[in-house]
Amino acid sequence: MKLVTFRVGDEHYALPLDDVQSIERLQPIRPVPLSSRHVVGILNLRGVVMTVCDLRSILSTTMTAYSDDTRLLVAGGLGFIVDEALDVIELDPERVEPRTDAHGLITGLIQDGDNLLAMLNSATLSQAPQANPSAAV
Amino acid sequence: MSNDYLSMFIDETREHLQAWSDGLMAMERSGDATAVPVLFRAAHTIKGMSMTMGFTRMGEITHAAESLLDGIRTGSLDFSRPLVDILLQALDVLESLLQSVEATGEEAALDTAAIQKALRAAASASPVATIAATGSSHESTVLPARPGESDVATAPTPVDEQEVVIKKVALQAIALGYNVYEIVIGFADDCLMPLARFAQWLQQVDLNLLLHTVPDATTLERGDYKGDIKVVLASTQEFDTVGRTLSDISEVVIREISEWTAESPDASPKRHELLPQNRHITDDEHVRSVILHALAQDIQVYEVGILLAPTCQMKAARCMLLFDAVGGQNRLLFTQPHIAQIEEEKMDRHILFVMWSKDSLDVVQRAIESVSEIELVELRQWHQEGAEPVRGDNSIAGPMAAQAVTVAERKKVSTIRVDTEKLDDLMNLVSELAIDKTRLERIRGEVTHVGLNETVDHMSRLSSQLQELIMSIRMVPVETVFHRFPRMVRDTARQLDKDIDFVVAGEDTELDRTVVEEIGDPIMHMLRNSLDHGVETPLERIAQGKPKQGRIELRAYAAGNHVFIEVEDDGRGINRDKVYRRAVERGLIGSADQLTDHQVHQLLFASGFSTADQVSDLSGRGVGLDVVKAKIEALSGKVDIYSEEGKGSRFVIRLPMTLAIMDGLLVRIGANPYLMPISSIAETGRLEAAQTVHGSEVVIWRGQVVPLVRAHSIFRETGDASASFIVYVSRGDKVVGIVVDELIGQYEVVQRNLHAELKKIPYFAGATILGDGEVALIIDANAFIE
Repeated sequence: MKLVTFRVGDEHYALPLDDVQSIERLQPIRPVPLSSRHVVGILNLRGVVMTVCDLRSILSTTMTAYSDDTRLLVAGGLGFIVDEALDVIELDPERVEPRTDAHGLITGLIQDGDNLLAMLNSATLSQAPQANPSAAV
Repeated sequence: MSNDYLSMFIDETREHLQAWSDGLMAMERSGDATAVPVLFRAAHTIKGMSMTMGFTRMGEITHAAESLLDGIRTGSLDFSRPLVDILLQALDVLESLLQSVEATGEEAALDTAAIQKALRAAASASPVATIAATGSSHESTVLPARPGESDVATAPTPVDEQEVVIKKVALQAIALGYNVYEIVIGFADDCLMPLARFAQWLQQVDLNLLLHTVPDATTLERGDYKGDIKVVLASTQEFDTVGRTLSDISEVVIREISEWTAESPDASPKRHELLPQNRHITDDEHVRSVILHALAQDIQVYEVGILLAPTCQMKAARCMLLFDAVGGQNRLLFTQPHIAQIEEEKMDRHILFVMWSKDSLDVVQRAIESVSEIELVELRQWHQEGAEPVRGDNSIAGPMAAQAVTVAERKKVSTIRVDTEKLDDLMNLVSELAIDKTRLERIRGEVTHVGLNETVDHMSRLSSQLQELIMSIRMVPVETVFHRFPRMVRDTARQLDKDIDFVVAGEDTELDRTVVEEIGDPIMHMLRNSLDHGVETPLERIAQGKPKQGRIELRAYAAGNHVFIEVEDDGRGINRDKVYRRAVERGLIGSADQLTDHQVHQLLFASGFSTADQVSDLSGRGVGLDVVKAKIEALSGKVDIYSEEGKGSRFVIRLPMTLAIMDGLLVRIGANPYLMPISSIAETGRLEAAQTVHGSEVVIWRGQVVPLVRAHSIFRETGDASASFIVYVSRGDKVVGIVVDELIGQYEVVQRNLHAELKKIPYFAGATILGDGEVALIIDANAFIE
């Protein structure tokens, strides 16, 4: 099984390579007023209007300013902002230890050398735009 | 089995089934058997195709239906409502079989024995047989003989009956404004495949208007028939055009064309001889001897066929000019029609003449071509072979004849089927091109280069033309959805015991294909609403002094950049008080709210609203009109209802003609650009002094107090808020002024869909990519009005 690994905040995550369409450099994003809190906005990805979600907000990690390492991970027709794309690794599926969290975002944990990788659920990720509207004042 | 054949089978069968359904509806409405020949042909064709494709169930049903229709056609069965019902049932079974073929490539294993039995029983219950069968069982009655299949002369009675039916049908066609022609078609002796030639002609004829053939279709389909064929054809074309379609086909000889007239309906139809028995007049012995005589004297003999322009006003004078051009009337050896008839202008557009001349062929040709308003279609030189004069080949293979052929061919292949996916791909490519065009136009502003300027201009023009063309290709007539409603209305009306006259108008109005595909369900909901809640039962109608038969009209028309679709009924209309009370009960409005009638009527579209006292099987479940509204608005349209109590209601749907490309005004709100559709903008202006009424901002615009909405604060924008412009948007009599920070300019953009979740935000209709690659949201002005 091939996995794409990336960093969000201080933690490392993985998604099956088959679920990831591409990894892009960050481009200007047009905000969409009144959208749900995980939605950053929309952008033009080679002629396609794509909705972008912030994986840092979805995973509730600290939000840092965009850097040169910030990437857009395209999966399930949505773009996700990650702090850094790390690697593509080959992994024996048996090494994934099934584990889940309250939001169903994580399907398992992987011990990869010194790092602990959390395997994300791409099906749950695609539901991200449905989260509650931001700033419900 | 080839996929191409299968999809062709599906497409064509669907068309024939539609013709079947339309025909039945028409017959039920008119109460006579006018459309039977149409149905018969449809059934026959489906039978043939199904059998070929190995779909035996469809084949067997259509075979049984064909027998039944044949009975009606020949008059051995009386046309009646129960027959229509049986034929409709057969149609339903065929449709579901066709659906299974489409889905799986195989016929579903439906039990079709019942419907076949019903068809056969109906077919054998001829009026005569019914009386005779009082003592015996139905099984003993024989199927009516198929006239025409046997020798015509040995089956006189059915033929007479058939003649009567054909005459009746012909008279109806004439009454509808058709010309009815009886044509006897013969074939050249050496014609190898006469029926192939006949089939070639049939391709140019609307088969639905082919009223009758002798021998009948079954015989013709067997393929070994070589004799003359008599057809009765209804046509909107002039007889010479009809004649021409035939004479264009080689090896076909028109023996006779006559037109039927309605002057003496009881007597045999009056006939006019319109074309000579045999157009090859020069096969006439007398003419040949004259030609031979001339050739013997070493004089050239030419045979000339001309066609006068349809616009030609003075045909006789034109012919005289023509004769002068070739050397005067005394050069003519023979004319068809006779020269006396030409002088009296008693002729159609075809004139054939034989002339002698000392000039060569091309001189004669030039002379003839110099005469205006005529088309030279035939020019042959005669020569002598032994003791026989022989006609040479037609030398008009040049531009004129070639042109005539191309025109005819073009007409023949005026439509092709295109996979809609390809059309969508094409549309997407053109959209991409449109974006690049805008981008190039921007770059041109930055670079000064003469060559670039010209190229960009040219490319802009081309891409606009391309866009228009694609848009027009994407337009399809609403007929493609309308055609299924007559059947639906009929069935529903029966179910509800209501008598409805359903009228459809404007089926040829065109709409974007994607819209047409989506519009079916909303219209159906509205029709059901009219059937269920609108039109009263016959008893109620009589009590109210209304005609017993209710009327529902479905019409479409285009106005400006919009297409309107209306459903109107003459039923009970909307009970204002009832709607008002219900709306208060449901908490949709406050009990103290003052509403105009129009506002009350629109409450019907509110979600979860239903006034039906009884929840019926059809509607009244509280879903329906709100679904209609949602669907129409998703298509960027809107729906209104107008009603007068006791008189009826009218639903009006307004849709944009095209969806994909729109004109928009780009504005800046805070730090971001937004696009507002030009179609929703009434006016733009500067924001001067706003007044405050009851804590909300208003301005006076065109003598009207207009509420102001600050987009900057609704969108929680953070950037510079100069708030210096107002965009007035209106819908109906409601106007709102949207305050924006800057007006940037007008753009033509391709609307893109937003992610399903973002679509739920009411303020945005979509997004677009601007010329510089930036993304902008498209504002839905309706959201600001509500």
